[in-house]
Amino acid sequence: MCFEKEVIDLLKKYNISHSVFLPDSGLKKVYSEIIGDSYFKVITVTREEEGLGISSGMYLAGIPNIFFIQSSGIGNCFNAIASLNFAYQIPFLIIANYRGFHNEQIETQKPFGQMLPKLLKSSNLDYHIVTNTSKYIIEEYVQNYLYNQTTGVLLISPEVY
Amino acid sequence: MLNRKNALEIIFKYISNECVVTNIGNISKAVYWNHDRKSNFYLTGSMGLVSSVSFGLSYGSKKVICLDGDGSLLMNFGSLCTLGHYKPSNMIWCVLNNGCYETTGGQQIFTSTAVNLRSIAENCGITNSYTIDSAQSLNQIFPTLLKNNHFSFLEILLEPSNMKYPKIEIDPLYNKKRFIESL
Repeated sequence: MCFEKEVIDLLKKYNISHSVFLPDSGLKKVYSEIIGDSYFKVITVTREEEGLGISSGMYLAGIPNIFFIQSSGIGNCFNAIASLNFAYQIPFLIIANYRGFHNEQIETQKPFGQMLPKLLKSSNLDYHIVTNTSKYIIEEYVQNYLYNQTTGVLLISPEVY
Repeated sequence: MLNRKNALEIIFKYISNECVVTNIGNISKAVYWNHDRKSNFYLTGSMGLVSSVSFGLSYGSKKVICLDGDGSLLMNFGSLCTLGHYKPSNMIWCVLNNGCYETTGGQQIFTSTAVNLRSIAENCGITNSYTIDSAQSLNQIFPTLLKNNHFSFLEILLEPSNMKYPKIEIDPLYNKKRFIESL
């Protein structure tokens, strides 16, 4: 099953109708599927930190949601992650196109791509690098977010698309 | 000219069961020490994100009053574009504009020199944008905005204050728990 279909099916299975999105090339098929499906409410944002604030506000209102971004944007979120999500224990689930990892063509993406797993680990952020279309790991992270109120980051390697 | 204490007294005079989200620093502290209620959510970090958290909250069932500062808004300028596009009908974005970073010592910022926030808000698609600078104007407009069912941007021009407040006594987790229970 293709990645975007797997994601859409999972979101519908778990009644997650809301998502916050900063469009990215790797996730463009997910974006166009979600935008084109009347089941979903998508909030497109201008910057990743902004999106995390919106995701957090939705969560406070009792609306679970998924936050889709490019992995480089996680770097723009650390202050909010610490002083909003960690401080108030507001979970989030980020699904990110992982740049600077597999066959990356843009040199400037590589430094942060290499740093990112170490940053996530040192921040005690649970993350997983998804290298094949394995529905189980994504579903596990969705379940943890919904039922255990835990925060997670899924870095989707381009080889998945 | 209006000061923050008076502006908040007027705002909270009209608020009933709406939820209120407050910006980090003196705005959160002033609201906590003078107008604490279960439906207040005090941001004590993540400067700039009060409008974004408020927008996310607006997808719930309660009306949301965002109490932002001008310095905070400058940190999350893109929020003007996002909110201008989505125009959440149950949110009022109040910006307490004193032209400075008051909490950190009153350093002057661009909202007192070059930047016209209401004009920018209008040009970002926020058609219901207002600027007021008097108690009379605030008493007139705020209850109207509360009753309306459209997204509004209300810039409240204030003189800087040197009022100091102790830190907020409730911790973030308790604030969150209490707030969610009130929704």
